[in-house]
Amino acid sequence: MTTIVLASAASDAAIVSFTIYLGIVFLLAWFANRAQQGKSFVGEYFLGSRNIGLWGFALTYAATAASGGSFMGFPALIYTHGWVLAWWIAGYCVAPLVSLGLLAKRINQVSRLAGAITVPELMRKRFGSSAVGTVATVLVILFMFAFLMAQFQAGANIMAVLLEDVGPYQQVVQGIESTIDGWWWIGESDGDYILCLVFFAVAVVIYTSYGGYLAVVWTDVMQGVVMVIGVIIMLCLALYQVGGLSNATESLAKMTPPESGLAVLQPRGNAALSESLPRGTWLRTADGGLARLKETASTNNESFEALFLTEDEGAEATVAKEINESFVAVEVPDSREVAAYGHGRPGVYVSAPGPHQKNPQGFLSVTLALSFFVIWNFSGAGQPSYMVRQMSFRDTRILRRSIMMVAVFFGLIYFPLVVIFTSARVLLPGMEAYPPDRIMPSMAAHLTTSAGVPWLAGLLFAAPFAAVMSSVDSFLLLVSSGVVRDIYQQNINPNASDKTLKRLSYTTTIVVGVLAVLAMLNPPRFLQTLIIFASTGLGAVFLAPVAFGLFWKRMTAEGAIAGMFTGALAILALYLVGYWVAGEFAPYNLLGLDPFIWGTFASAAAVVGVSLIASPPDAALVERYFGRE
Amino acid sequence: MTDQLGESFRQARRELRFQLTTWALFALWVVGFCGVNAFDAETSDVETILGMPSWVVLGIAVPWFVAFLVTVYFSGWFMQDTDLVDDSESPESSHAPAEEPPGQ
Repeated sequence: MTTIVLASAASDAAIVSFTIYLGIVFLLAWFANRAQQGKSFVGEYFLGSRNIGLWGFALTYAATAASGGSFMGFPALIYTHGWVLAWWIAGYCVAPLVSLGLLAKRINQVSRLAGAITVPELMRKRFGSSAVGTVATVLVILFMFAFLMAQFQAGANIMAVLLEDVGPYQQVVQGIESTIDGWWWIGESDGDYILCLVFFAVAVVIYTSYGGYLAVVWTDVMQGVVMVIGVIIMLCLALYQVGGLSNATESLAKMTPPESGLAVLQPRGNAALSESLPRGTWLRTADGGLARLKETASTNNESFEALFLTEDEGAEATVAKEINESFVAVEVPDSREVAAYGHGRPGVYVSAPGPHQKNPQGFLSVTLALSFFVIWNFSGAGQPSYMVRQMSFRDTRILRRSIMMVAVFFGLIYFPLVVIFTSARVLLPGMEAYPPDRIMPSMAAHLTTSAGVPWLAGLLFAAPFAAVMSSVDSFLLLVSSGVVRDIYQQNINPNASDKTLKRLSYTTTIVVGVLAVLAMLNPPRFLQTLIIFASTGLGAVFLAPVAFGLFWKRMTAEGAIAGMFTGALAILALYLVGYWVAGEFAPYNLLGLDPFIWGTFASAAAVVGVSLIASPPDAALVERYFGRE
Repeated sequence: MTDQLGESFRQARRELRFQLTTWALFALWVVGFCGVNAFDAETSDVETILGMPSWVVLGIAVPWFVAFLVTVYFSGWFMQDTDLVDDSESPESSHAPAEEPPGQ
């Protein structure tokens, strides 16, 4: 009963908050469109006329960095593996200095000198070579489209999780499922996923195409504020309800990973199973332990997937009121699966490497931790979506203050999330009975309902929406700017009028969004890997060529092309080896290091080697972008 | 103009060296400290500081705070303001069509 009330209140709050949130987003897009009128279209639409101030620049950067993964995937990882995630994410401590500060000043300066408003255009003009621009455009569009598709699916998943308990929504979902049954391509997809995907895509495409870069920046500011406020409220509620951080850590130290298996239901006394028991129902086991249903149990005698807690002392008190005492979960012999690392090891949630269901080495090795310390900083610096933002700030005072502001933002988001979701394992045991993405909305609903303020869940629910939307809108604009500015205006019609460019930009943004939706109607199994592949691929392709291009006078166009191709090929090769070794789309961590590191090293070596072999660059070009010694 | 640009480029290079050195020092601190201490903490009687495992405090929370101070120093004092060329001064403004640069 408690669970039903909690879900209902939280769902109502989610709908109200989501509606208000979308209303504000569309309002901002309308204002942005009004603000652009009377100005040159392309520079304003794709770059806000390089006039972005402190709040706009800092928060658009930070909000884009904190994508859906930060608010759905990251909490799920913390819940599953414990305090070791603080080490995994620790690279963010210097990310404002490195990821934001490394190239920003020079990118802004060189892009102004070149009059460039996209990354491929910047590279084309810096090296005086159309070939460089073409290669960069193709690679940006390819990798970024993969990234965009993955983020669309993440947005749809978040909506589906938050709305799953809403009655009218479920009726629509059932209608969709019965309609598409047997259809080619989408027939096997879930109705709720399709509904949420289309709704999410329509919303984000409309406000991005209508409002352009300015709308993206303004909504990012709002989304960044929503994220910070949401996390701070959750942190206070979590610490209060868990009885302080010491209590949470001590409880966590006693826990060992739960185990999965099959169970049959045995009635106590005269109890009869007149209606099905929903997923998530708590039951006692035959030996007095605790189990939780991982699927709905109906009236027959079939076995059901269940989760068996291995340390019941703390959970007993937490879920005592929710235990269904009418039935006992009797374990099916030899059906239990234990964690490959962490089984029966107290302390595994408060130490490294952290428990892992499949990997006998645990979650995080030293080399992998080093990989992530590199990735969070340098992969970020190499993302074209961040580079575009770095072209748009008004002056270097804005940049200096933004670095400080982003440092505060990351500090208020990432470390508190670790504290909140290590507490979640104590407050909400047995969440492995649900898909991992469920932990964030469940924790928000639990904290606010327990505190007697269920309406507040709406604000907390808006945070992951905000995170995904702020990433999707940026990627959408980046892909359409590649098509409009780098392909159409550069190669097809250099003298296109503002009216033509405006029409083409709107159309391209919509077409890119529609293509992404069509592709994701039948989502791939390896979504998370696709996200990592696309983001590390972009970093490995662009970091070395752009960084050397900004700081090394001797670099040539040939070096830039070689660097981009080598970075792309290295990443692709390590994923192909990963596919060959693992039998599925997966990276191959040579010597325990992520492909991004190898790709970036290979790219940098190609940039330096090929540039030194090629003829020195044109002296006038060097002086134009580097000045005199 | 080009002399000013040359000086701002040299300053940007100094800032780049500061950033890379800072990153390397913090990578050494965080990965080194946690690599040595985080694996030994697998016990139900975990040693805590401020309610967190001690390796998290000394290997992550403290460096995070110090990194914040370094970031404030860098952006407040070390990083110098540069007079960025305004679009209107550039021969190739973003308002103009995407034409070829000089030196092509």
